[in-house]
Amino acid sequence: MLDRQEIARYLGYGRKPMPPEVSALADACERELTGGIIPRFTSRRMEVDRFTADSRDLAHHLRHCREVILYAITLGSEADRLLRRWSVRNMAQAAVGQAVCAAWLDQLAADYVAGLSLEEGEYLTPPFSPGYGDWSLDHQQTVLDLLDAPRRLGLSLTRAGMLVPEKSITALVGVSDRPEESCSQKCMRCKKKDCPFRAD
Amino acid sequence: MKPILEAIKEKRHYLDGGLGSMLQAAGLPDGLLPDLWSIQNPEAVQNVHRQYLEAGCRLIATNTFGTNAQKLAPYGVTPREVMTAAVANVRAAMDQAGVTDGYVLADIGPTGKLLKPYGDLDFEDAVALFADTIAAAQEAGADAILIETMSDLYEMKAALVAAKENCSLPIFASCIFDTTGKLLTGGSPRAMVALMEGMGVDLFGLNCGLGPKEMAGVFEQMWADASTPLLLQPNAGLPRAEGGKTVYDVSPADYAQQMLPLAPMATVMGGCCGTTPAHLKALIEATKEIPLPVVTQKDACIISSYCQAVVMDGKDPVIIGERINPTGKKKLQAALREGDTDYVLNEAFRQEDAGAHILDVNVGLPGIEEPAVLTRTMEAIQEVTGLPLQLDTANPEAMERALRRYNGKALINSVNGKEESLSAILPLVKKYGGGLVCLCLDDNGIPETAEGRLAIAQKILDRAQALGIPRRDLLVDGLTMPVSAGKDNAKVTLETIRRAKEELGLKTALGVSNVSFGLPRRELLNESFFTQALQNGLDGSIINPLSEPMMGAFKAYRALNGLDDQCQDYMETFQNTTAPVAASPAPSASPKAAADTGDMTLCQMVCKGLKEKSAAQAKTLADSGKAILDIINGELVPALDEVGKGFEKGTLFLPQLLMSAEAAKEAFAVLKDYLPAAETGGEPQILLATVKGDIHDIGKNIVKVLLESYRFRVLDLGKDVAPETIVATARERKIPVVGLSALMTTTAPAMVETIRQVKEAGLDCKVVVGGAVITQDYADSIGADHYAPDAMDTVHYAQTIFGD
Repeated sequence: MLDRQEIARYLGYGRKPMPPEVSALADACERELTGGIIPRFTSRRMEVDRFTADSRDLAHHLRHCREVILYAITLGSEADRLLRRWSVRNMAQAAVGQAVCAAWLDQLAADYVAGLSLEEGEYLTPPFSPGYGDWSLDHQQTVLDLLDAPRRLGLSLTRAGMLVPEKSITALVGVSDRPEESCSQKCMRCKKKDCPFRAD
Repeated sequence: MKPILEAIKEKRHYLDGGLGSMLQAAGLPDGLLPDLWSIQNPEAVQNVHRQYLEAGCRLIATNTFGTNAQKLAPYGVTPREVMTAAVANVRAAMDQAGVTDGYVLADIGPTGKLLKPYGDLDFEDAVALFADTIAAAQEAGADAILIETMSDLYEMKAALVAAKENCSLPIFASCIFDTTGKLLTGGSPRAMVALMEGMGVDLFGLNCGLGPKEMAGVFEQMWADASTPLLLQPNAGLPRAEGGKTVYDVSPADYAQQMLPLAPMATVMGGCCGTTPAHLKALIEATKEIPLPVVTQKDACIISSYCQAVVMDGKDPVIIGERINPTGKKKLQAALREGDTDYVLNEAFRQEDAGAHILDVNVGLPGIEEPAVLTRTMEAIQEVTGLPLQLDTANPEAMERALRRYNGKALINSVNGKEESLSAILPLVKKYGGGLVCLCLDDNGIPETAEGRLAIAQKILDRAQALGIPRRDLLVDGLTMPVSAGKDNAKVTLETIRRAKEELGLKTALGVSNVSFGLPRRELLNESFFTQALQNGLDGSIINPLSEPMMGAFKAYRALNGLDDQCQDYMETFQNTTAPVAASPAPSASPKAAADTGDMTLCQMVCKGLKEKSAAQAKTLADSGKAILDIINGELVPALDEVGKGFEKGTLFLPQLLMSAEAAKEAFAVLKDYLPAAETGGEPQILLATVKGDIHDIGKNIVKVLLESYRFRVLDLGKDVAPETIVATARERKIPVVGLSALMTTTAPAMVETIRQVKEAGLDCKVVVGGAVITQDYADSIGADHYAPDAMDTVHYAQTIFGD
C-alpha cells in the first residue's frame, strides 16, 4: 500500500489527512493502477565527468563522486490511458489518480535506488534530474539516449521536451565513498523553499 | 535468382545476428549513430556482413536501423544517401565472400518517438518518415523490407502502410516483447498477429528484448494463431550491465541449443543483440536439417485494438455494442454535432462495463462531415479503451480515412453485393486489413430467400478471395428484417446465417433488434430471436449490451452450450442479482454512492460530492413539480459556493471540490431535460485549450469540470492545440473568453504566440491563462487579460465577464 501521507501531500492537503471519500478514491486508483500496470526500469553506471560540465549545481551535487548511476522508470502509456479514462468518467478520480501515480513513482524510484548493487564502502547521493537547479531540461534527450530508453522502456521526448509516457522519471544518483553523502530525506537539498509540495 | 519469398519456403534461410554490438567491438564510438558508418567506414560494416555470410547467413540486414530523416538531420545526410551506401555494403560483402545466393534486407527501425495520442508524433508524420527510407531502399536495390524492433503496434502499422505505398518489395516485420509477454505499449502477441496478417505481411515474428528461452512463450502463442511464416531473432540472453557496458551471457552453443525447440515453428531464424557470427554458425549447424514448418491456414477471424484481440472462431459468439449510433438518439446526435466527445466516450464506457467485446461506431447524420467526424470519434474512443471497434459507415471516404488511422485491425461494417460497394471497400480491406461484414443485398435489393442471400455472399467471397482477402475474415450478415413485415422474415435470416456457416464456411453477423420493429414489448421478441440466432451459428451479435435480457440470453446460451467453463462467466455476472436492474454507472464513479443519505438535501449531497445520489435527488425534486430554476438557485448554486469558499479558505481541497463539481454537473444534466431547449443551449462561452506542444491536460480538464458545474458552456479543443486552430475557432464561434493552459517552461512560448495571434486577429475576446509555470508577472508580460492561479479563479473570472 502506498504512503497515504504522500498522496495527500501531492493533493495539497499538506500534513492533513485525506477525508474518507478521497481516501476511498485513492484506494480505487491504486488498485486499478497496480493491478494492470507493470512499471519498467533501466539504469547504467557511468563516469561522473560525462555530466559535471553540464551544470554547476549538478557538479556541486556530485563533488565527492567519481561515478553516477543513471536510471529511468516509467509506468508506461497504460498509466496515461487510465488517467485519461478517469478524467472522462470522474475528474476527482483523475486528480487523485495523478497523485497516486506520483507517489507510486517516488516509491518505485526509492526502492529501485535502494536495491542497486553497490560495492562495500559506496554510498549514494540523493537523486538529481534534468530540470533540477541549473541542469537544463535540454539534457533530457542525452539521458534517454545514454539509457537506450526509447527501445528499452518506450520512453521518449516530445518536440517540446516532455517525457512520454507522462508518468516517468529520469534521474541520476552519485556514487560516493562518504557515508554522509547519503541522505534519504526528500527535498532537503532543493533550494525552492516556497514549493507547495515541499516535504520537510 | 529465386524471388526471396520462394527461396525461404524451399529451404532454411538464416538472417544475420547482432550488428550494432559488432560495430561497437570494431571501435564505433559511444553515442555515434551506427548508420553513419555505412558511409564513413564502409569497410568495417562490410566486414561484419561478410562474417555473417561466412557463417552461413543468406539474409543480410542493412546497417540502417536509425535511418530516418529525423535521426539523420543533425548529421547532414539523407536517408537516401545512407540507404544507398548500406545496400551497397551488403552487396560488396557478398562479393567478397563469393556468395551469389544472398538477399539484402533493408532494415527499418522505430522512430524513437511515441505516436499520438500519448506522444506527439502524428500517424501520418510517422508514415512519411518511414516512406522516405523505404522508397530509398527500393531504389537502392534491396530484396525485401525488414521492419524490426517495434514496441508499438501503431508505429508498426505506420511503417507497414509506408512500405505498401512506397515499394513493391516483400515485407518482413518483427516486434520486441519484454519479460511481461507484452509490447511496451501493451500489445499482446495475438493483437500483433491480427495486425500483421491484416496488413498482409509476408513474414513476421520477434526480435530483440529477450533470449530464446524467454521468447519461447510469446513465440508459441504466435504460432498457434498465425497463418503466415514466422521469424525469430532473439538476443543472446537477457542484457546485463557490467562495468557500464551491456553484456549478454548465452554462448553460441547454448544459443543453438535454446533455439532448437523453436526451430520447427520458425521459418526464418537469426539473432539480435549480443549474437555474433559464432552464434549464427552454431545455430545453423544445429537446425539446418530440421524441416521447415508447415504453416496452416487458421480459421479464426481475429480483430484487434492497440493492445487486445477478439477472436471469432465460429463457435464462441461475441457482443458488438450498438449504442454509438445516432439513429433515433437525440442526445447522441447533439453530442456528435457539437463535438462533445465526453458523451460518446461515456457511451463506450457503459457498454464496456456491460460486457461488450467490440464497439460499433456509427456517426452518420445528415449534414455532418462524416469522414472527419468518424475518424475523430474513433480516435477519441481508442484513446480510452482497449476494445476493438467496428467502423460502421456507408461512406467509403469515411471508411478509408478511419481505417487508415485505426490502431489495430478493425471490423468493417460493411460491404454488399453491389459493384460500387465491392470496388470501393474490398481494396481497403486488402490494404489495411479488417474483419468484413458482408450484407446480403445488391442492386436488386434484399433477396427474399436464403438461397438468394447466399448467392450474394458467395459473390462477395469470390471477389474477396480474388484479391487475396482470406475467407476467415468475412462475416455474412443475414439481414434481420422485421417479422411484423413478413411472417417468414426471421426464418429466412436464421437460415441464411446457418447455411453461410455450413455451406460457405463463413462467419456470421446480425443486427438483432430490427426483428421486433413495429411490435409491442420488443424485448421479448429480441431475446428469443437472439437465442435462436446464436443457435443457428451467429458469431458477431450487434446488440445493446445495456439490455439485461439480451446479455442474459447471451450468457445463458454460452453456459448451455459448453462455452462457459463451470458457468463461471454466468455466475460472475448474475450472482447476487435478482430482478432486472438498469445498467448502473461505473462502480468507481463514487465510492460513497451506497452511503446512507438519510434526510440529506440536494445541497448537502452536492457538498458531499455524491454523484448518483445528487442526480437521483434532482430528478425526485423536478418530478415533484418544484420549479427547476428554484432547484438550481436554491440547492446547486449554494452548494457550489460553499464548497468553493472552503477550497479558497483551505478547509477542503481539490478532490472534494471536483467531487462536488461532478455531482452538480450530474444534477444539472438531469434538470436540463426539464428546461426548454432555449434556456439550456447556446453558443459556447469559453474556449479551453492546452497550448501547442503541451500534452499535459489535467489542469485544463479540472478547469473545464468546474466551469461546467457552474453551467458555463465550454468548448474544449483538447491538448497540443495550434494557435491557428484557436484563433480560427474563436473567430468562427465568436467566443468571448479563451482559456489557455501550459505546464512546462518549454511550452509557455506557445502560449505567447497564441496570444499574439489572438490580438493580431483583432478578436473581441479575453484571454485567461494558467498552468504550473505561469505566474502573474508572466501573464502580464505576455499580454494575457487575466491570470488564474487556480481553477476556482477561472470560475470567478467567468462570473465577472458573464455575470453569475
